[in-house]
Amino acid sequence: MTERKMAEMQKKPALRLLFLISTPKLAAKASEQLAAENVPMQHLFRAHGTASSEIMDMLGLGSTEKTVLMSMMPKRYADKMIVRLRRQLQLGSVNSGVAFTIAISGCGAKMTRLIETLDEQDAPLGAEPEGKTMTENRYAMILAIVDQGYSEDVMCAARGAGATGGTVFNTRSVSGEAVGKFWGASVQEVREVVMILAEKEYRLPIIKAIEQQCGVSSPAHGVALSLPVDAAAGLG
Amino acid sequence: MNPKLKEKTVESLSAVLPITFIVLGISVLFVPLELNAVMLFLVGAVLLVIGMGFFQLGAEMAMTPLGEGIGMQISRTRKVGIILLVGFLMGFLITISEPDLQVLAEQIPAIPNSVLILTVAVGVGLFLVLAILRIIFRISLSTLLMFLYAALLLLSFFTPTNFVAIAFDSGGVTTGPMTVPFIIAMGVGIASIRGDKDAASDSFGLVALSSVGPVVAVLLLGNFYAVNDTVYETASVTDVTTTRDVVITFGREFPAYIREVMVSLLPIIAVMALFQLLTHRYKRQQVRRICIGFAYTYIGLVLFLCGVNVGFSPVGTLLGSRLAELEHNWILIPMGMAIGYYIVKAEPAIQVLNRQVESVTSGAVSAKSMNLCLSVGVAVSVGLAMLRVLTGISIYRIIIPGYVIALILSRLVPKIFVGIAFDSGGVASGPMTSTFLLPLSIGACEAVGGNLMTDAFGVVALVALTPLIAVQIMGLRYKWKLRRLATAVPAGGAAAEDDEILDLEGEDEDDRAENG
Repeated sequence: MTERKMAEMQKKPALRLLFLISTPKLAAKASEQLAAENVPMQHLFRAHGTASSEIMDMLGLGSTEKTVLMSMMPKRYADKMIVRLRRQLQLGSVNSGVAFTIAISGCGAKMTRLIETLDEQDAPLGAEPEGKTMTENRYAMILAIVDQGYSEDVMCAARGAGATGGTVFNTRSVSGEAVGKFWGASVQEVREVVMILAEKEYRLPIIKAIEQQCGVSSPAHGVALSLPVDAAAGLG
Repeated sequence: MNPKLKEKTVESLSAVLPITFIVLGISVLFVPLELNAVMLFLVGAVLLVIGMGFFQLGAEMAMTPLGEGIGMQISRTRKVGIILLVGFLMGFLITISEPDLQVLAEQIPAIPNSVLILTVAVGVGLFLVLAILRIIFRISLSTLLMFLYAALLLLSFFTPTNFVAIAFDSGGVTTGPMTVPFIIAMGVGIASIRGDKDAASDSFGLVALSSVGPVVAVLLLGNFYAVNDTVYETASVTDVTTTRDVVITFGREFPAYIREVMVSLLPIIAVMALFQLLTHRYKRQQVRRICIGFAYTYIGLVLFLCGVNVGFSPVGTLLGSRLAELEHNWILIPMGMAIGYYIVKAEPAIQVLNRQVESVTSGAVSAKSMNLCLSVGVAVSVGLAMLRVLTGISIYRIIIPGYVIALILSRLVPKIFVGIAFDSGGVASGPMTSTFLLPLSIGACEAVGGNLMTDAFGVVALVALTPLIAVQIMGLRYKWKLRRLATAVPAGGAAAEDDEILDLEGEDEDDRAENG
């Protein structure tokens, strides 16, 4: 083992996965900025926000289109980026969105090295006001995965336990229960994933509420879990 | 303001206002129009804005979830028989209820209305089945289209020439605001539960094949009935002098649309009820939502169709004839192109298609780029249609090279663009085309004394053709861009240590101290 490699192994770089859940317009703006700063990896996918009330939902005015942006970056860069996103996209105001980071606990060396270069071009970020990411570890990301059509029930349960809002996107289940093969194409159930960003102390009550109403034994066949959030902006 | 409400308001304003201003601009600069026509036009535009907003919201709440639901449910059964039966029935029912088809039937008096409508509906049903079979047996869409268009062309040689233009028009006409949201959603639904790599591209292409059905049906009928003439009632501006007259004019037409749209919606509502009874797919809240969605769709279509027929149609005829009467009547071509560029945005089904494209491709093909493609495409096609009106060149001389180019392109572009492109052709030619562009070219054709049957008709077919090329060119550019990006990334060849996976758990102390 070379010396350089030894040193590298000793210093574990801190990497974060940054999520931005926002309106398609604001997300595109953020994405352009990340691209301009040569952030090597960013992915976008579509989702929709959950309705705030039953009446609005019924009138079709409840849910709004959202875009979720996912990107890997070093922690220091990510913290600054969160502060910046909050300011530029005015996260926290009505219908803007939320941004948060989740710790990455393993990654290929090649990608890590590529991402670490972001910390070196600190200059443009340096001027940002520091110390505003004191929200660290205050939040949790709750994921609830349910059968199609139950995301409203999930939100209903979660709201009762302290959640404020959620974002829904569709996935296909590839577990053993998959419907099977059909003319060579595999056919899978569509499932809905609800993402809820909430204060850490609410996470267990929210999970409990979701499990009670939409748990595995209910018709929703739901699973709820929470992930630790490092830094966040746009909530409360 | 509620964000959704705002989104829809902005959407419908930006769809209707541009074409309104263009027409007003032309009427001020080139061909002065009487105020009574303009008054009707403006009221029509207001109805269009409101109708468009309601329709978009309704389609999103009712038609899309219902179509997707049926699509998913039938492919979950994995029984080919059920899939094909449901496919045929849906295609048949939804075509019968398409308001545009009734208009088409009126225009061809030689064929009894019920015969025409039933034949076209069976045509759409069969071709929808074919479209689903194609997905199941994995036949490439581009190959199937090549085969079908070749057959279509061959068939058209045996049909009276007078009849060919209107037959090709019927393909674009029948895939209107009812059919499109539903069929597109059904395709997305069928594909959405599949895990293979073709799933996304197979989401599209149903509308494309469905719009071949009517052309075949009308061409066949043309051989059986002695069709020599079509009747087209050009809408004339009724004599309105006061504001009350304007309201009365619209009020008189209103009940007809209230009835017509009700007749169109009922079969779909019945399907919804039956589907829900059989599968219990939707929960109470969702059912209520879908019902309100249907109400929105209803209100939206009534206002839209009334506005466009009473307000826009007469102005279309007037504008066409006045422009053609000008000394330099070549001005028809650039003016037609300007109108075409902006009119496609006001087609109600276009926004539904764009949204589905955006969501299936996760935003990689944005609504904005689709809009641009369609605008450019339709601008070219209206330009060509006006050229045809002025010079009387045969429709074959445009359609044959056009489809040849489109089919060649379909071999070169990524699969998903083939489906999107051929779908967008049927979608682009909706009620705006048949109530504004068609009267425009009929008006112009009458003014220059051309042959209505061969020169004026065919505009819908052209509007349905050019988007195929425009969208596929976008696909080609997309492919090149991807290729450039691929070469831009330094190729592998890295040291062995690059393959290593780092354990980042319990990250560096320095970082922790600094930020903690």
